[in-house]
Amino acid sequence: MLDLAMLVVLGVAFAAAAAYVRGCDALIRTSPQTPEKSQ
Amino acid sequence: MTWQGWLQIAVFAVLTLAVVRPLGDYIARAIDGTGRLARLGARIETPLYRLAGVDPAQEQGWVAYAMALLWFNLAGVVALYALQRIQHVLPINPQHLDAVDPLLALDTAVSFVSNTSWQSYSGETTLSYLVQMAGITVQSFASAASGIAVGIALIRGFARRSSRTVGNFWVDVTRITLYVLLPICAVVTLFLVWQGVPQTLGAYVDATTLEGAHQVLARGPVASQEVIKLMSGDGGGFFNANSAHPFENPTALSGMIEMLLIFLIGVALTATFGRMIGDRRQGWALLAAMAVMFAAGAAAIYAGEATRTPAFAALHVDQRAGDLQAGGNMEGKEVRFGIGQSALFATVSTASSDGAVDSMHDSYMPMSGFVLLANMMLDEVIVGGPGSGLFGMLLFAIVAVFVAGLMVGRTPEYLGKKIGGNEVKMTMLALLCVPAFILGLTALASVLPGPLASLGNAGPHGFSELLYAYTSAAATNGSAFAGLNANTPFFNLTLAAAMFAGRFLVIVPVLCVAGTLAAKRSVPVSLGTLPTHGAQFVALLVGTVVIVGGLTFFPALALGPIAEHYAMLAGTNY
Repeated sequence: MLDLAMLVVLGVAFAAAAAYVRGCDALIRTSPQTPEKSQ
Repeated sequence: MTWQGWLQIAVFAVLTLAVVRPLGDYIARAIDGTGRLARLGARIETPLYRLAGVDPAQEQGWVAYAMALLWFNLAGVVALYALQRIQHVLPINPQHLDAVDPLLALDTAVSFVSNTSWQSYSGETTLSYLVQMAGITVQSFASAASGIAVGIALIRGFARRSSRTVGNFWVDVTRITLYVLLPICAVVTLFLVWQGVPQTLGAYVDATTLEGAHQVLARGPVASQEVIKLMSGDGGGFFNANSAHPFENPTALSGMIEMLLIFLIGVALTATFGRMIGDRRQGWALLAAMAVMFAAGAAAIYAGEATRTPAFAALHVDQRAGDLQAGGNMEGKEVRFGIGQSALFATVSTASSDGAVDSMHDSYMPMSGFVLLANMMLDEVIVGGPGSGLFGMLLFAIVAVFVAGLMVGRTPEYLGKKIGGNEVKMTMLALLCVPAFILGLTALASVLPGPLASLGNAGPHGFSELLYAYTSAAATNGSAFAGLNANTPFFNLTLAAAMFAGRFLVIVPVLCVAGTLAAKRSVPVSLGTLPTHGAQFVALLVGTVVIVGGLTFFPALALGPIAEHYAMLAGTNY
């Protein structure tokens, strides 16, 4: 039973990391782009 | 202090510098498949890709690259956990060791997959030979290859123009393992066996000492694990005493080679970086920044340990180094090699992400402990781990050019790429994640009665033990300060969380930066471009690292080693 709990913990941790990847991707896609010219 | 001590440090520095360019160039050729060994190995690579269903020609964007890395590491963590839990029914367990406790198995699995190697256990009494080989050693290879792959992806981000991809994770990991890690390990393992490191599947042996006492000598397949343990940045020892154990580190020569192994990939990747972006000076600038901080740390620790200690001075003890005594603070040092080598090993271990130890960091003078902590707190950019040191330093380079850009009112650029809001946001996300876990979890452990009961010392030294544990975990170092019983449910879970966050919550934004940079066009160098290959930029980079680290951690350091230092001067020891 404890083994199952540990594996669930690991699964949740990696699922959170995968969501973090998607979150970062969404963040940069929705951010306004910096103009690529020197001021 | 002795001239021999300084000579050891100088010899180590020269040997390290000598390998930078040849190995860095070799890694670059191995990664793109043009090296001699890589061309020969194509016969092995192709069937492997076919077996795994990987198309090596198909490159990945940063999201796909990151997801592949997560899947790869998830498989590793589950496999290592399962191996520990069923080791009692598996073969190659001559000591008939029982299954590892679930929480300890979780902590250990996360520890080695995250390239940390924090050990809440003694290897010789906890893990079977099979788990040491198929679990721990395999994950040392896998975690090192993952870190180097991320570093290479970030280099491609700078090197490529208007590209939607950063490479293929599976190809990178395969080539790094086959052509970089395995060949070096094979050669140096034989060297260590020659020096006296055991490599056997035979059971532990009983011995009778000269005094007639009975002693069990633990042994096993040590040499093959030792090399990748050091080179991978994992650092988890086969034995509890780690590199202070004569079967892991039998001679002064093996000690020197082991320190070199710890730095090998980290320093070489600066040359790989310079070669891949087409400007070697940029790689040397990063290496110079690393070298400045390393030299300062090594000198401070050696001087701090080799000079007289106030407690002995108050008792009028002769502390001068001479033919019959080492002088200074010998407590916890590797007595075979003296203070110079112990101090150098401790600096190398904490400046990298390795965490292997040949002396007890808990016994160092408070301000030496301060330097050891600071080495890890600076996000392990002083060489750091394989790949992680390079991408950590590149993140600070982005912050440095951003700050410089703010000062002169120009859009910052680095290596021909404009550094925009997205890159700065992701960089700060990566850099703030580690301190948040270190300081948050240390604060939590400092106020709960359970964790406090695990401390071996009271006062500021006890606080340093907690701070060191979470710093070591979140910075994926893995070395221990000693004095803390970390094999409790609280520490196993919170340290596992710190290690996981310190690895994967940093890698993801780094790959994001790689992806956004790769997609950008290159801008030509103009009169207003900040040169990033000279002494001025090296100073700016070192200043940025030190100021960011200082602002983040100085209050915590003041409560630990700094308070202990002043208490010691006032006559109170903890």
